[in-house]
Amino acid sequence: MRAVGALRAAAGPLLHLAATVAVLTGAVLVAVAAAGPEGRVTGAVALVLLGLVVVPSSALELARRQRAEVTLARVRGASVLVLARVALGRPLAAVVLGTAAGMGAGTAVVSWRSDAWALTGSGAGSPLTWSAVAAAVSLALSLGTCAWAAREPLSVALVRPHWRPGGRGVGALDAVTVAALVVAALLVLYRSRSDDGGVLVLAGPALLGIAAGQVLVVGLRRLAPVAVGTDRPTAALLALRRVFGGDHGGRTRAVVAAGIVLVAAISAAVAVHDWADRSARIDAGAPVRLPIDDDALSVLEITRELDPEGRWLMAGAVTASRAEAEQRTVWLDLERYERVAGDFLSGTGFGLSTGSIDRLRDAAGVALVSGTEVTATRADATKPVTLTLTYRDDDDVTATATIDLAAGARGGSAKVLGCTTRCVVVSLGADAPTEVTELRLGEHDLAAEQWGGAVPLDPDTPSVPSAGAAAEPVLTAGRPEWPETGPAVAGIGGGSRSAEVIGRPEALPLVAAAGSLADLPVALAAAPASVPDVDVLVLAREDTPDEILTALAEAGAEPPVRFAASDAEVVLGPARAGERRTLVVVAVGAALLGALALLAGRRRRALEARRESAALRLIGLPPALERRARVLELGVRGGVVLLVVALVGAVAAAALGAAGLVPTGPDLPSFGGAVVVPVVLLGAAAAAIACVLGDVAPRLGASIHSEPAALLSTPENGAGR
Amino acid sequence: MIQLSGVAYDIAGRPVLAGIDLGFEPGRMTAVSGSSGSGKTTLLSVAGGLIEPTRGTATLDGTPTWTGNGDPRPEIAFVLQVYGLVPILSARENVSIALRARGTPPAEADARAEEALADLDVGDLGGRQVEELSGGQLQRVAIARALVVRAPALLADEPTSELDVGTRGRVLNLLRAQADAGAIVVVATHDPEVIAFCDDHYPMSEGRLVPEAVPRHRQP
Repeated sequence: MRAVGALRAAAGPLLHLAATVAVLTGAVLVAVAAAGPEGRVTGAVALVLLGLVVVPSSALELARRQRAEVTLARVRGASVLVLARVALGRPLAAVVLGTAAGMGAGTAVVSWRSDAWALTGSGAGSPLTWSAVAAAVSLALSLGTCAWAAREPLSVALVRPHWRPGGRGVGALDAVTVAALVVAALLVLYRSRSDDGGVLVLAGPALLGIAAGQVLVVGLRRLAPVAVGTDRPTAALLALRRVFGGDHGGRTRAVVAAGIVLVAAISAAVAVHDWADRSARIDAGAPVRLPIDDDALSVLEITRELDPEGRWLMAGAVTASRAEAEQRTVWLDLERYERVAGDFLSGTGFGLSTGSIDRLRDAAGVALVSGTEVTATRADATKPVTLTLTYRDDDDVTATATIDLAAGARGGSAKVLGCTTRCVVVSLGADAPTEVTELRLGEHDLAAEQWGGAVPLDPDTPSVPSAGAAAEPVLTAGRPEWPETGPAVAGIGGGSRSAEVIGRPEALPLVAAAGSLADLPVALAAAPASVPDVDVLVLAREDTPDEILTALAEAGAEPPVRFAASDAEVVLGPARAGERRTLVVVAVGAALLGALALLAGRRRRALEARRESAALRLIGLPPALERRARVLELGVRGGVVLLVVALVGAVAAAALGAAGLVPTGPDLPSFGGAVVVPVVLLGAAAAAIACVLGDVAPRLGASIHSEPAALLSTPENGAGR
Repeated sequence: MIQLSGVAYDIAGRPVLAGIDLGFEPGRMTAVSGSSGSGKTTLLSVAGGLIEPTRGTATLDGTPTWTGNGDPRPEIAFVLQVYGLVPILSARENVSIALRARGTPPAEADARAEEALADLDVGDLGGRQVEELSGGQLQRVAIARALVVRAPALLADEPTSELDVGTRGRVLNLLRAQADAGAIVVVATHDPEVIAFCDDHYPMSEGRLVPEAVPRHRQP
């Protein structure tokens, strides 16, 4: 019964310490388990480091609550064993209680999520073992803190109503601690980059957070004499004294450290998810894909036939089997891009404005002709010459028609087979120098329409229609190694075609971060049938009507592949998915630990704040002035926390991004830094708001009044009249 | 003049003060004495407007001292038994802020605070946080804070309990100077020497003025 009574006497701080230990051990357990079979222990290390500042802050409140009892035992000359029981019994009970709760809750969470996370074991070791490590650290910190508090000089303990940690010797210790922490944080950050992750990845931000919190607390203490000078307006004096003095150092340190870990972890998790989502969208190219085993020109015609207005379908082709950027090209019927792709690829590092589309299409597209006979006329007829017209026939087979011109003959003709509906002129060759002034096929004067006039010919160098000879406008991603003659991209019919690079986006659909994008009709101009290395497909909107999809299937298209959020998981792979889960667990753990740190000593602080207000009212300080001081204080405190967490959190987030959290490679989108910025700012704002609320809440929630009459009693016994 | 008429104060039905009728006059030092729990602190609190009497009235120059929210009127200064200093402020700032609250400019308030602390031999402690001071030092800072505002009424609860004999004499002389300047000075004490130093004396027992005791009045 005595034990129960003793526990009840300090129930608030005891439960707070137990809750802190429960969150720490539970979060560590879940973080290790969530990492998965290929996971790393980095999340557990970060949380345990965070525990180094949060647990003592909570244990200190317990030490404060049992101070009178410990002092009484010392006055009575209690033995070491009795003193140990009085001073260390409660923290021991709190840690045991917290560990049991944390391990139980953590195990329940892991069991609940094991199917969803596809957990088959943890590569980071046993979750229970790491949870036990966190419990052992918590125990050592709690007992150490309470034992240290019990060493307060008895003469002081008997006289002073409150115990304030610290003293004149703390200054040098602060400096040493700050220096050691900063150096350790920088070392760990540096090592985490060269270590490609490992244990240290999240330890860096955690240590950096602790160092930043310590620097802030020591800095505020050191700056106090400068900031709180004489002649300050009264509201400013009160506000600055509260900001630079008071006993909020432990809470500030813990909140800043937790805020920085939270910001770093959540921004890294968001960045990893964003990278996977961008990569998956880039890989998909459009909401719906339908691979089709046909020639690119045929597919272009099919899409235009089934969807004449270009509302749903867009033909495309891609060659991306090789890693070199200059060997990877994607062709899209860009006239339809905006309607079919919409904003599917927005934020992926690829975007097409109307202007860009116009420039990519600013070259002659494929021209379709038909006829059964070709007739050629040449400028002079002194020598015999054989002309060879190469074309793609109606079945997308490369065919030729040969016109033999004898000496003295200025013109001649030949039958053209398989060109009754639509065929594409690929080239015109001759076995001797000559100049063709007219070349007719059916209704078309090919020389005028496709060469712009007479066609000079040299042996062994077929002349390509000007549409096919012109440089192909392209967008290029990555670092292609162009030939000496200038940019050239893979041709849809094999070989290569000179290119004009008009833009360099970060990524391109279907070829990702390495390759080129060109307009399909432009690429098909004078091109032979697409080679097997080119994959042809139809891209479609999400809401494409079923009858159109059915018609596509009848035309030979494979079943539609629709983009889903789970595609990002596929891109991510099990190891990275585990890492992202760990980051989220660490972020949640840091948020909870930060919140608990803010709530430490809530009742005591409420009492002290009320007595402080009462003392100010006793001397007649106007309430409006007191309110101004509070607003100023909270503004300064929140602003400082916001600034420190945002700045250091950004550094930590950047360090995490550089620590190999996402795969990098020449053909992969890069780690997105832009998405991290709002996350860092939001996280810092949340930490600042939490810090302000944590300070305000005890004053709002206290049940006692701040009337000056509250000062008639002593803080401890409430008596006196 | 502070006048208490038919004042009673109950806590949970239990009388802490009952049937108090007395007046504290300007220019005089009055001692209220009695053992612990006799009601001295409660009497001063009612007289100063910190708590509202259950029955009866307490007035300063005819106006009730209870302002409705527990805040004392600016004409009244206190030295509380538990000092009532602001922990986050230094000793000088604790004194200075009382002047600032009454409209004194910060620089002048700081200078007068220094003087007030020096009068009580704690001038060298002005920059210290009050948490770093001993009980006697805290008490002197609290007295300095009450004296420096030169209020028309000064109510001091056990103002010399933590002081050595020499300092006690200095404090009493400073209180006397306030009274001589026309202030109402009331001291709750059980120190016979303090009682002897005062002009008037009201002994108390169990929340009442001792009936058989004849208040001793020194001639003005």
